[in-house]
Amino acid sequence: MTDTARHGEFIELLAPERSALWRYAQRMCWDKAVAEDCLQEAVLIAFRKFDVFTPGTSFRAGVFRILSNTILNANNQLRRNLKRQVLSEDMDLVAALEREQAYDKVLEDPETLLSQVSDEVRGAVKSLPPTERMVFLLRSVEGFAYKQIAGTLKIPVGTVMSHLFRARARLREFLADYAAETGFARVTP
Amino acid sequence: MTISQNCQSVRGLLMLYLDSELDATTTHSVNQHLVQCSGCRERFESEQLLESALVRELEADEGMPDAVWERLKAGVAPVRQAAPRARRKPCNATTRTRRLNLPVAASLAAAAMLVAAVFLWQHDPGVQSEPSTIALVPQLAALHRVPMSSPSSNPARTARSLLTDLSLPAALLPATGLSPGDSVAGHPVRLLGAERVVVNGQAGVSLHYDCCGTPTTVFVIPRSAVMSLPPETLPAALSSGSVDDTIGGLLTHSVLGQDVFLSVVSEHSVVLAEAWLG
Repeated sequence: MTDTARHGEFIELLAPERSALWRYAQRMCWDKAVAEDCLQEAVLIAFRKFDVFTPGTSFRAGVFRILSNTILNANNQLRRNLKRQVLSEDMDLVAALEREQAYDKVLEDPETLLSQVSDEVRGAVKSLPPTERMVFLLRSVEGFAYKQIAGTLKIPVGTVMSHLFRARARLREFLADYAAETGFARVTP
Repeated sequence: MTISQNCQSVRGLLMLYLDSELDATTTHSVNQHLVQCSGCRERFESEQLLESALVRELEADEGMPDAVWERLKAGVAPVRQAAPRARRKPCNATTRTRRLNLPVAASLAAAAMLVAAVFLWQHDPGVQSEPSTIALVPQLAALHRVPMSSPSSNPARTARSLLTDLSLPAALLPATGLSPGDSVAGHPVRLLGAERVVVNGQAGVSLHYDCCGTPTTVFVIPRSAVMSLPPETLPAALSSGSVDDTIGGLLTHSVLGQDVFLSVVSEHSVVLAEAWLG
């Protein structure tokens, strides 16, 4: 295959992931320029490895794996935190949430609430610890299976579950707090 | 106690169920429980709705800008696209004044030509990116604004990059950069790195410098990349030997030599750019 043909084939596979990769890189990096740097480096690495790409395997998973590693390499602290297991007391967060009346109100009409707080929700996602944010984005937004995420980040599936569990709990806690503070809970039937 | 008889246990599994991550047996048990227990079923449907709404919010952002996509594509093109450092606060130490000629600028320009000659020699003319449809100077300005993919203030790292990524012969390495403390027109300058570029469809090289905390890029591209432009545009302007321009706050100074086109792009000072190219 000529260089030009190889380039064309690579771009053809990359194009459908354009928005998802941008979205993910931006959410994982505080700085837009850093996000683009990571993306550029990841795409370059993916292209260099394209010769060993097996048709029929997931190109998307491969590119996300490379991008995740690029982001992790840019932040060693993030890589160290990634392996941290969630402690048992962290789980109490969800248990406590279950008991909150405001959270019940959130669940009564989540779409209305989210339509009112779209900017704040983005902020809440951004404020998640990076490791939790990474796992949450890969699962909930990009739709990867736990096992794929574990393979991508080289951590056990149990650790993926812990980070995801905690990220979701934090976001729900944010929504419950918002509902309680703004009176959203009171105006819903 | 089985799962199907315990709402508390089932609720602890709802997100795993939502993610389709439970094994077949447990999935079946949760299914059975949700059929029988309206409270848990409503809870599951609400969590599902919340998760969907949350994801919709997060997916609603604007997509990748075309400019970023083009840079990504160019970055893996047969000849690599350059990505200079991000803009920083410009130095306000200078203003636009008359042209200056300094020995260091002349030596830098000569070094840049030498580097360009090496890269252009290595370039396979049969493998080119699609010709750009945009004008040359705005294209240079756009390239200047792109963060460099591997920025480094470490001279050793920059040297390694020149030698490995850009295949620069080691003998030419000393000629490519300024040592700390060197200056152009009284401005301290420091080489950050160099990358291959595709400008107007042709291969060249860009050298990236920090000057008074301001990113400055020297582009070295083949003369033919300029001469293929409509004659009434840049070639005509360059017929007098050099041209200054201002693009979105960036200052450019360009000269056309016998074989190469040299252009300095900075938000810093035209006097600097003029001095840079001698």
